[in-house]
Amino acid sequence: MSNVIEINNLVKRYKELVALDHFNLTVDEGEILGLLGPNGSGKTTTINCILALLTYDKGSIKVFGKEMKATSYDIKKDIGVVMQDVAVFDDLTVYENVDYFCGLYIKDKKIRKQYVEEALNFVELTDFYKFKPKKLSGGLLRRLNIACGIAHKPKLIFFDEPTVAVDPQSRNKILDGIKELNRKGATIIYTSHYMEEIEQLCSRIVIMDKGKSIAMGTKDELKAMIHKTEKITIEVADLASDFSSEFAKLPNFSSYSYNDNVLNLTFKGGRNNLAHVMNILSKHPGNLGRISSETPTLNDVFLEITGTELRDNV
Amino acid sequence: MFIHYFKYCFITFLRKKDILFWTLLFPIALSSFMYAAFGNITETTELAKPIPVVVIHHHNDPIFDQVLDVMSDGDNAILKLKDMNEKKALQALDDEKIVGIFYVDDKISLSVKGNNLKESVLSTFLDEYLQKRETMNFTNVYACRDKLKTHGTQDNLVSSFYAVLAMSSLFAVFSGIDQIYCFQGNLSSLGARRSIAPTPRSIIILAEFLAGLFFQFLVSSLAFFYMKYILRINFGDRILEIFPVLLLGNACGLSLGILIGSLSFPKTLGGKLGLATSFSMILSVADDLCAPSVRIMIEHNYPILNRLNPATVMSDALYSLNVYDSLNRYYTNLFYLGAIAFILCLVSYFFIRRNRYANI
Repeated sequence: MSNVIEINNLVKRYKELVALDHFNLTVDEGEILGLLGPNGSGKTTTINCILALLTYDKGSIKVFGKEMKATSYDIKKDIGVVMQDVAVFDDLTVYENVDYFCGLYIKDKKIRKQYVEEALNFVELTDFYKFKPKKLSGGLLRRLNIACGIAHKPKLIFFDEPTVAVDPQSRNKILDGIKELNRKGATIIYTSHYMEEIEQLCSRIVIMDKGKSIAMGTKDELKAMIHKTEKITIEVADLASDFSSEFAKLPNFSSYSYNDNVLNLTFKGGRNNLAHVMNILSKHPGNLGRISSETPTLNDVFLEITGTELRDNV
Repeated sequence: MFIHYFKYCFITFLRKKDILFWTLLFPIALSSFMYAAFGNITETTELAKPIPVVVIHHHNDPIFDQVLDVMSDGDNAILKLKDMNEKKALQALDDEKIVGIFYVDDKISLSVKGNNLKESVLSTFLDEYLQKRETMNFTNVYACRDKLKTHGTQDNLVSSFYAVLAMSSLFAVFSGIDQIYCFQGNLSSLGARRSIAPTPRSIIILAEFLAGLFFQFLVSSLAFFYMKYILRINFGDRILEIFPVLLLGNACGLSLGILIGSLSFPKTLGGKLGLATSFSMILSVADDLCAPSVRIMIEHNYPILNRLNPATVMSDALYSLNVYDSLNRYYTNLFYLGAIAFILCLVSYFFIRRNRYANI
C-alpha cells in the first residue's frame, strides 16, 4: 500500500505561536485517517499546508509521491476538499454551485453533467436542484458543501469538520456517504471534534495537541496504550459467593463486588473481559438482567497522555 | 473553461440584489429625482449668442487683442467685449452681467464665477490661445469658434447627469470587491476552495474581470438609456461615442474595487465596502455631483487631481463630446481612463498574485 501523503518535520509558525511543531504524518492509500484534537491543535493548519494554501517554515509535504506546491495542478486535480465553513455561492442554485466547482476540475461538459448529477444523487439533493443555498436547512447545506467538494471524483478527500451544527439524521447520512466514498476507493482525511464520529469512521487515528502528533494508531491500539479500567456491570439475582474466586482468576482482574443483585467487576485493560465473565456466569442458573461494559474512550487516551480533557478543550 | 467562469460570474452578478441596487437602481432613482427637482429649470445657453466678457489690460498683448477682435466680430461672434474698469467688471461679474474677466498681465488669466457651459467655453478659448501662442500657431485659435459646436443648445442640467453616469460607473467598485473577496483564499472559504482547484488563478480572475466589466457596462448603458429615452435628457447626437467612456469608466471602478478588495486592510467585507463607498462618494462629490464648482476649484488649485479622478475624467469626456467638434479632448480623456484602469489593475496584481498565504 503506497503513501498518499507524506509529511516530514513540518513546522508552521504564526509569529510567536508554533502551530505545527515538527509534525510528521503518513496517510496510506484507501484508509480513512482521523485527525483528532482540541481547537488550536493544528488540524486545519495541517490540512491547509497540505493543500498549499498556507506557507510553512520548515519541513516537506509530498502528495501522491510528489512535492506539493501551489501550482501542482496535476496533484490538485485528484484532491477534493470539504471545508469547515460552507463555501458555496449564495446566488447560484444547488445545481449551478456543484456544476461551477466541478467545472474547476472537469472540462468536458458532458462528463461534468454526469458527475454533477451523480454527486447530487449521492448527497440526496436531487429534489433541490433549483434551490438557492439560503433556502436549504443546515444539514442540506452541509450536504451541498460536500457535493461541491467531491463531484469531480477525487482520489484524496479532506473533510474538515463536515458535521458541525448538523442534525443527527443528516450527520448519519454524511458519515454513511463518507464510508461509501472510501469503499469506492477514495482516501479520506477526516477532522472532527466529535470522538464518536472518529471512532465510528476512521481506520486510523492521529491525536494532535499543540501542533504535535501525540498518539497514532487504530482506536483499539490507542485504547490499549493506556491503563484505564474496564468496568462491567451485570444485573443478576442470587449469585453464589463462590463465583468470586472464579472471577479473580480471570486475566487482568482488578476488583469484585456484589450488592443488591448487581455484580460489579473491574479489569485493568485487556481484551474480551466481558466474554470471559459471561462464560463464568453461564453456569449460574438464574436470569441475567441489564449488562453494560464501559471501555476507555479516546478522551481517556487524550487525558492520560496530556493530563487534560479533550472535551474541555473543544 | 474561460466561458464556464465567465458565465457563472455573470449569472452571479445578475442575481446580486445589492450590486444591482447600487449600480442600476440608485443611479436611475437619483437621475429621476434630479429630473423631477430641476428638470423645469431650463436655463439654456445658446452658443450662437456672444458671451459678455471684460478685458483688463495691465500689459499690452496685441496678439491677444487681435484674437479677441476676431472672436467678437461678425454674426457668429462668440465673445461680446464690454468696456469697463476692473472694479465695475468685478461687480458686473458678481451680478452675472458678464461671464468672465480676462486679465492681461505677464500671463493672461481668466476669472469666472460659475462653472457652466459659458465659463467652460471661455476657459477652453484661453487654454487654446496660450497653448498655440507658445508655438506661434494661431490658425487653430482663430478657428476656435469652429471648434465649438454651433448646432443645438446645451442644457446645463446635463452636466449633473454626466456626473450620475460617472458615479454609476464608479459603483462598479462594489463588483470588484465582491469578486476579489470570493477569490482570495485568505479572505473567504470560497476563495480557499477556488485556490486549491487545478486551474491557474490568472484564468479565473481574467474571466471574472471581463464578466464583471460586461455586466457593469450593460448596467451603465441601461442607466444611460433610461436618462436618454425616458427622462429625455439631451446627450447630444454623438451617442456611440458615449459607450467607450462608460466601458472605460466601469473598468476604472472595477479595478478600484479589485485593489481595495486585495488590500490586507480592512480585512472584513463590510470594512472594504465601507471604504469603497466613502472613496467613490468623495470622487463623485469632486465631480460636482452634490455641489457645483468643486471641480473647477480643484482645477484651479490641484489640476492633477482632476486628471486622476475617473469620475471627473468621465464627465469631462461626455461633456466634451457635446460641446466641441474636435474629439481631441474626448480621446485624451479616454486615454486617462484607460491609464487609470491599467495602473489600478497593475497595482492589484502585486497583491493578488500570491497563491499561498501566511495566515488564513
